[in-house]
Amino acid sequence: MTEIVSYALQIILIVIAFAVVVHKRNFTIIILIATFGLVAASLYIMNKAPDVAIAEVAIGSAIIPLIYVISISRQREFIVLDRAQDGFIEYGHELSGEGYEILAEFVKLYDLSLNICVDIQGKEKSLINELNVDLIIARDLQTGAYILYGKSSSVLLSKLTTMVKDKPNIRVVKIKEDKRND
Amino acid sequence: MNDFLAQIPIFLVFIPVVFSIIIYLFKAKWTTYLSFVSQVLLLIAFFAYLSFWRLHPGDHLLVFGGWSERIGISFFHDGLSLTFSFLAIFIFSVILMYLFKFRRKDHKFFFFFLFLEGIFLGMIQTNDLFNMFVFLELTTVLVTVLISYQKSGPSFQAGIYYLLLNTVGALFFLIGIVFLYNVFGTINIRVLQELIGTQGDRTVVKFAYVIMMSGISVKAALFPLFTWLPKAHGVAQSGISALLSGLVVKGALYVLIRMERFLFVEAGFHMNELFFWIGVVTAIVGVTFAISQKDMKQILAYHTVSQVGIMMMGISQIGLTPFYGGVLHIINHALFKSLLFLGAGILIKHYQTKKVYEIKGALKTFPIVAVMLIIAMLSISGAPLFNGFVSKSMIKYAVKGNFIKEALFFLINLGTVTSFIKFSSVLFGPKAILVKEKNPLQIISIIVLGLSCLGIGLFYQVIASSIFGITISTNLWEISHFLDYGLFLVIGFLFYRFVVKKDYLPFQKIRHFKLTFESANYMFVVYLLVVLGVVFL
Amino acid sequence: MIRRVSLVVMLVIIFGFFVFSILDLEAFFSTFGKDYFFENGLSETGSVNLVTGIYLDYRLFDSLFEAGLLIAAVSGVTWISQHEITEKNATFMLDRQSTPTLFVTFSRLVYPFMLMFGIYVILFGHVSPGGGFQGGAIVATAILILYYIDVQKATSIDKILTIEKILFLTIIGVGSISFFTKGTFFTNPFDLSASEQVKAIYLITLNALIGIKVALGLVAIFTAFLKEGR
Repeated sequence: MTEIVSYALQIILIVIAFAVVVHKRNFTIIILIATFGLVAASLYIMNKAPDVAIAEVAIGSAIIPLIYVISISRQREFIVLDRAQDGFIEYGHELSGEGYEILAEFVKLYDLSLNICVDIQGKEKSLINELNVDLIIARDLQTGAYILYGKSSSVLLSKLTTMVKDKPNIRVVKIKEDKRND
Repeated sequence: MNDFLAQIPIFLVFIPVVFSIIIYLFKAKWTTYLSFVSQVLLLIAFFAYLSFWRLHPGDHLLVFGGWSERIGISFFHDGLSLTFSFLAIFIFSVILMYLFKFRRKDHKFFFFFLFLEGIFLGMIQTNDLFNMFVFLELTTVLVTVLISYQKSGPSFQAGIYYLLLNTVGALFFLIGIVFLYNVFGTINIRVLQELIGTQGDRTVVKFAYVIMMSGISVKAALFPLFTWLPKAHGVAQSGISALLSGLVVKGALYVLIRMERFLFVEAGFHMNELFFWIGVVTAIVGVTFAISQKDMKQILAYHTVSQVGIMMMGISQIGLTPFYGGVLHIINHALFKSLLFLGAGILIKHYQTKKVYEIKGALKTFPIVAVMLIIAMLSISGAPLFNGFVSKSMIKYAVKGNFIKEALFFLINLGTVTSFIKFSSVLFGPKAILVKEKNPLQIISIIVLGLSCLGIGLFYQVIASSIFGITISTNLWEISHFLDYGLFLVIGFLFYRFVVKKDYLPFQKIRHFKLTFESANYMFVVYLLVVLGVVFL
Repeated sequence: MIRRVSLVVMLVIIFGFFVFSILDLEAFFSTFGKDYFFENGLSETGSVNLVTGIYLDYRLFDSLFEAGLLIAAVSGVTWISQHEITEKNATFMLDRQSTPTLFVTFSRLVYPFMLMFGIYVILFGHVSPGGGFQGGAIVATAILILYYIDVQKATSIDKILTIEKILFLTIIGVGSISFFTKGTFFTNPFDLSASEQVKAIYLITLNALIGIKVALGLVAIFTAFLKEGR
């Protein structure tokens, strides 16, 4: 009897491993990894190694999914700092305005959540490098155009550039990373 | 007293570790000077143990806890491990001198640096397979942190690439250890060395050998698994590049020597030809990539790959002379590659650019640095009177008699000379107007390395007999050696002028070739399968 | 497409060799290690749980560096995620949603039991399954539940790391006591002929130190993740 259960658990383990590779949504993958840990722990107990089982449950099913969930939920935020504050984005009961529509369409493409703030101090370069602000909206007083600053090594920004290519009053400027030479 | 002296190897591991934690805990300004204290203590401990070791020829095994050898962890010292330990202490001290002024106030940096030194010394001395695995994992984690120390986007990419690829390799190493423990009931390397002949034909032992060698080849940067090396060198600071390329790769080669030459030697697998050809391919690929690069550090990085190939060519042979040539080349390469990286670091910092063609006039602006760089370049291309000549001549014995192998060795040397003629274009030109930083410790560190290159080149008879116990019969001052080298220089210079400098399309394509992470994994599986095939057939 | 098919084929071949070699193994595997530990483990180390005896007495040197690996990883993660920000900027990234009340109540109920269970696993590591590393992970999970209740309770990472490193030095110190009593490093300082209760003192001390150290390390990693950029 225990033989059959042991074989069944091992087959489930292989199936979960394949499922982790095949799935595309991040949260599903995290839950599958936690399940993998639990099934492995039961196999350890069946092979008479309770110490290893306790360690596997504590770390593989409690701490690891926690860390993954935090980092993935942090990645899903797209942080925008609005320095122009003059109508590009309207703050009323609901956010609206020309800028807001472009940004909303952009984040919907990548399944992110938009987070617009207005009150951060600091220079643009240091904010993007240090604080993980993704986009800064500023107004160029001479030409009247809106400039969007972003990280040059980000792939999302190239998509944004193509989206605003045919709007004359919006420009995207990429800030290069600080490559300190030695 | 003898009892205490026998326990010194533990101190070799723990002195840097304890000092690193002390420097981290006390944030006063003067505590970073304690790192020099730890280096001095290490040197004293090493020489004390060396004198003890010479006097007691049979007593080199140190088992922790007094348990029997098959159960407890042990440290074992023979000539190879003592040489590597001294090399590690020497290079860490030199790099510490180079980096000290820049990082004087950064306590966390010294924590990672000294911790890495302790762990590395432990990896070299240990005699227990699982202990070696733990140290291997620790070096991977620490080197990742040091590579991505500058916290910019490309640094993290290179660091994570390094971490993931090397962890995959270390994991395969662990699976091999599990197999061996199941078969033999012990994981002590010396005991396994005696026992392995009894079960050498079993499929398990062969499979364990295959996966252990594949696992360690990732870290040793053999073809096709070397792709992490150029990326890591592109983003790391020069001192850390010197450490990575000069010492960490050699540590992995040391583990490979222990597996191949000591652990599995009784099993009779006859893998010498395969590893020789892997070495040849690595060397050729490395040198081809090196010629087509325009960034100083990338030239040096790909060059490391090709020199590792030459070392494999030496190590894989059964005969004594090429094997000792390979080990001597490991020592030499650590010295002159670190020298090159440190010198390049000084130039990059002052000229603020990394491209070879944009730096000019180093000979007039930085005379001492330029002279040391010339010494390093002469050593690496095998000029007589310098250390590269000795090791390359010894490795040449491996190819004597076989025309194809000799031709390939000639091509590799030619590529080496050409890439360094390209590198040396930084030396010529008018004097540049720059703000120079006064840093006497850096200059001292470079001079020490240069002098040691010269020293090994001139006094190689003494060194070879004291380390390996062999006598080398090549006469240093024969004119034919100088003429050979002169011929190399001329052919290399012509090749450079008329082929490389024009930057034809193949060179451009090679320069922009990048290997993604999934391709690297695919290459790992291919490599494993190739080694598997050769072992079982 | 070709690449995927060839990859699957190669992996199947390697897996085949793997299975074949395992099937071959049953005929001749050696039980030398297992027999030795079964016969002598209890009397030499003083712990009923042989696994604890192995990693705290026969192979203490390894466990020291496993703990060291945790320190290196925690310091590395902390270094990478530390940014210098001014206090004003820290408020913009607070979570917009607060944890549901059901969750908070449940966490308050569960927290004392988890903590007690974790401490039990640590202290009784030499008698029942468990030990320093496992118990430390459970205690860390218990402390993390606190963060769900109230995010502001996160303590400063620097203090945690300082205590952790002092604990590491203490562990090395306790391991080295045996040099003065027995002449070799890294084993139980009490004599082999002492009773099991006396030998257990050393095991409990080491287990407690390792447990606290591991718990602090994991809490530090989690705090670094939570606090990044805040």
